[in-house]
Amino acid sequence: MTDKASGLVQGTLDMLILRTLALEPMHGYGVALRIEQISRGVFRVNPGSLFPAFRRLERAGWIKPEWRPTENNRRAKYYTLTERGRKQLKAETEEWGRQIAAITRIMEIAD
Amino acid sequence: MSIWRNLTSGLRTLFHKEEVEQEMDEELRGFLDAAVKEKMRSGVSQDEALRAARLEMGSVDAVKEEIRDAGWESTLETLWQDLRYGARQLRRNPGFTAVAVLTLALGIGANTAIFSVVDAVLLRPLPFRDPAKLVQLFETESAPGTYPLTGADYLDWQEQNQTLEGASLFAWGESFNASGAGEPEQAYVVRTQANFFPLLGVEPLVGRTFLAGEDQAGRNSVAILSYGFWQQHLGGRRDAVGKDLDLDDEKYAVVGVMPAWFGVLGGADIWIPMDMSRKNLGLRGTHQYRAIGRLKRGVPVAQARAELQTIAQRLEKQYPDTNSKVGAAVVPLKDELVGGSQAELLIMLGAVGLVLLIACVNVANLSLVRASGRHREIAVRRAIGAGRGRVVRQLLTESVLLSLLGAAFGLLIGWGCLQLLASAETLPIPRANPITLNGAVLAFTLGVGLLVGVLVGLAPALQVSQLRLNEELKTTVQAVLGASGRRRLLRDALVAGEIAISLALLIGAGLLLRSFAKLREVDIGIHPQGVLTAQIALPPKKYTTLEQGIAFFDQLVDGLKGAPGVEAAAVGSKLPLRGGSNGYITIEGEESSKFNNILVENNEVTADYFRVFGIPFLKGRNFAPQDFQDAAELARKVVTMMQSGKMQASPDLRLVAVINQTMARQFWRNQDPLGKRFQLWGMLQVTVIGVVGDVKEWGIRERVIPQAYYPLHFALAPPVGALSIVVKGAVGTKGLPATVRNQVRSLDSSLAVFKVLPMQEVISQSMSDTSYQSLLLSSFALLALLLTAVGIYGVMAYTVTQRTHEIGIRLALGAYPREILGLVLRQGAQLTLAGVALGVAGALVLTRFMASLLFGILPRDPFTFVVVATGLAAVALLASYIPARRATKVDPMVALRYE
Repeated sequence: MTDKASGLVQGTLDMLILRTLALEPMHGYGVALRIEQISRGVFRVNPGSLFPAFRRLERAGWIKPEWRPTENNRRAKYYTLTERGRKQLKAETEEWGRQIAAITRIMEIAD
Repeated sequence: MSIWRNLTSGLRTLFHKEEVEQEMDEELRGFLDAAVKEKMRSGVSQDEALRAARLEMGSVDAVKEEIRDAGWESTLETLWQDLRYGARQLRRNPGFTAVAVLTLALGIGANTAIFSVVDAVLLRPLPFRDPAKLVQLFETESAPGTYPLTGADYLDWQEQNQTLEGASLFAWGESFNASGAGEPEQAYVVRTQANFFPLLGVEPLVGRTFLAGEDQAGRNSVAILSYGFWQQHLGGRRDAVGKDLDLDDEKYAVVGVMPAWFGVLGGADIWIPMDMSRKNLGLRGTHQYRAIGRLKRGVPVAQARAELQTIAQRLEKQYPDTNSKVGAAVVPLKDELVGGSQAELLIMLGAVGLVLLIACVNVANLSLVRASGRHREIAVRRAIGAGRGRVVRQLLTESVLLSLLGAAFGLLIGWGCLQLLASAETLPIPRANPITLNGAVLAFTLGVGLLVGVLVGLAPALQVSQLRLNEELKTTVQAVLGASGRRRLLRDALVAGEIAISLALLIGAGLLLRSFAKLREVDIGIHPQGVLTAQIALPPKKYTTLEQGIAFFDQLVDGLKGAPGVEAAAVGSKLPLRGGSNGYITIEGEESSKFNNILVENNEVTADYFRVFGIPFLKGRNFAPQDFQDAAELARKVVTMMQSGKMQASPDLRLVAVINQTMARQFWRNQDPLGKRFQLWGMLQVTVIGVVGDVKEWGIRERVIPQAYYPLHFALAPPVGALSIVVKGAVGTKGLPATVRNQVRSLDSSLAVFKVLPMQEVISQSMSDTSYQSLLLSSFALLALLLTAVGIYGVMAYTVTQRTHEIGIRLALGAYPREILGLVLRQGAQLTLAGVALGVAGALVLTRFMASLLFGILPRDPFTFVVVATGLAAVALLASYIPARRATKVDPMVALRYE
């Protein structure tokens, strides 16, 4: 599991997915690729983690799946952030900011 | 909202599986396609890109499994799969399944039965309104213990107390001749204050209970029937209420019937109101009543006790003659009713718990053996993607399925046990609540079933989770030296533990059996062989004078003596071991309080009472005819005095007494007791004319206390309570009941003879608690022994099978069968030794808790420990001998070809 190997903090994957989907509706690979690109390769999300996360978020009502046709006449499942998902993202972002600030303060203690 | 979505989405996954799976496949394929396209964009060939993408993705099946696991429905689905798989596994091994289910059912069944008794007696509240506030009231004396109340004291308590919301006086049962159609019936009648039933808060099944004021003379000719009496004698007809019933030739109007379960506080056939007038309740100083009370809201028992104690002290000052040293005691009703059986029941519950533990160990061992055979299956399952947790869950599901089957059959067994219990007539268990398989018991059984399932499944699951996959898949032949060390250790530990538990149980049972034997050896002071006892009561309405009573009993005893097959016959007011009345005496010429107002037993008897029971005369003489005439004369004087209301000591109130050895020793240690005198009830002058051997009056476990025998005629002034007829047969008691009944009928056909029992039976009944306990605990211990033997046998047999190859090699290389036998037996002996050592240590700790149930031996009785430990070791060795024998019969050629 790549995400564990690269030290993705437990529970942050959901937040990263929500943040990515906040840009535009995307399919699974799109989300994985976007996270990898933006993190400059630090986080690589494999399907074994990504899709269960989609199921969780879907059940929580934060994202909504939708089948859309793709260019080569197939269809792909796109995920859209819902209104509730947007709220959740906002809450998680704030919480994350607080935690980061706190951790930073602790780590900056001068020896 | 999200719960709803969660639910619907989960249900969709469950019920539209194919659609959901298809979408999942499609999505994953899309992911792969997109990944390939992305990689090709950076310039690699399509094949290369596909390979890389697949590598990154890993096993598609594993990914799908993870996606499925994300929802709750997968847990449900897995459980269902596991259950079906488990059921298939169990069906495939009918032998294993049958043995395991039967073992667990026995264990769980015994637990269900005992728990339902514990639930009824200890856990459920008494079936009364607000039962925690109910108390029983007693008086206390200088001697330890609690004593019955005097009516006069009770009335004062009732008037003066502030802590009780109410109190109710009731008497001990009296025998009445109840007549309806046909034979006169003996009915056990309890008199109560009118508020008795409302105070308890019980409603009648039919009709009403007593009304306020019905406990006054003239209004108290009403009766309430017990359910049993109503059914048996009045056919359970509702119109019985409102009709009249004759009790000792007096008419009582039946006003109600109590429900079947109501039989607490000694039970009764009929309740009638007591005349609560001060005059009727008797003299201060005659302790003869029982009473219950209901605490006021918020009043603790201690406060009520303190208050009644204060009142008692006031009465002590006021009436020093009768109330010196008389105090008050208040005991919660539940403690009084069931307190005594608590230790016993908890011990029994502990014992069945241990039996169940042994059953679990056995089944766990069986499952371990079976799991060893399934290592390859499990290794394959894990290799193709089942996680460790998944496999453990599968095994636990199987064992829980097994144990729930066991619980279902156990419930049947428990139900059967309860039917047996219900049919037992004299059960030494207080039955305030009916013993039933109610919701609590069912929940208990289900809980035990689940717990057992997890316990039993834990061992194989533990083993499997430590499986080294590669090795399991590689080895096709069992390792030459049998199971790997760790696996064997677990099984051995289980068997040793099983031996230990079983030993502790057997020692417990052994101690009880020894106590029972000791009880049987106790010298009661009589020869019960060939003695028949019976009870009779003369109705005071019909036998109104002393002379009538004397005439009746004189004729009865004479008639019985002359009857064929009768060696001796007598009448007495007491039977050995059954207890009875006592009175205060003061030794003449002694000032010390050791000789002042001492309680001694009374027994009024005819002359042959001693001969019937074989009670030896140690000194002096028996009662002569003149003594009976004098006693009758004295009774006449006392009656006259009571009627005139002038009770005082007088030198011409004389009586003679035969005393027991303990009394002689206690009061006239170094003197000749013959001719010595004492005062009875502060007014009669009694002269000792003889000394007889001691007889246990209050129970086998009780000490002998001082006892005086008086001529029967002294006790025949009406009203006469129930008296005992005792007859010694020339050859056994056969035919004696008919003789006694015929004699009584020839004198008065309206009289009923009741409680017709051989004296041997009276003795057995007085030991019924210990005999019942030892029977119960012995059954549990034997069950444990059986299970343990099966357990040892199973493990040894399995070991031998595992080592067949090795044994074959040894035999081929020239080992003697004897050496092989030794090899296997040694292993069995080691297990046994470890188990016995552990068991003895455990028993030393556990048996301390049963000290109160034992009689005549210590909880660490060395004899019991040694005998039981040796016996168990022998059984264990025998159980390992059989497979060991089989090992010597191994054919080397066959063994070497094995696998």
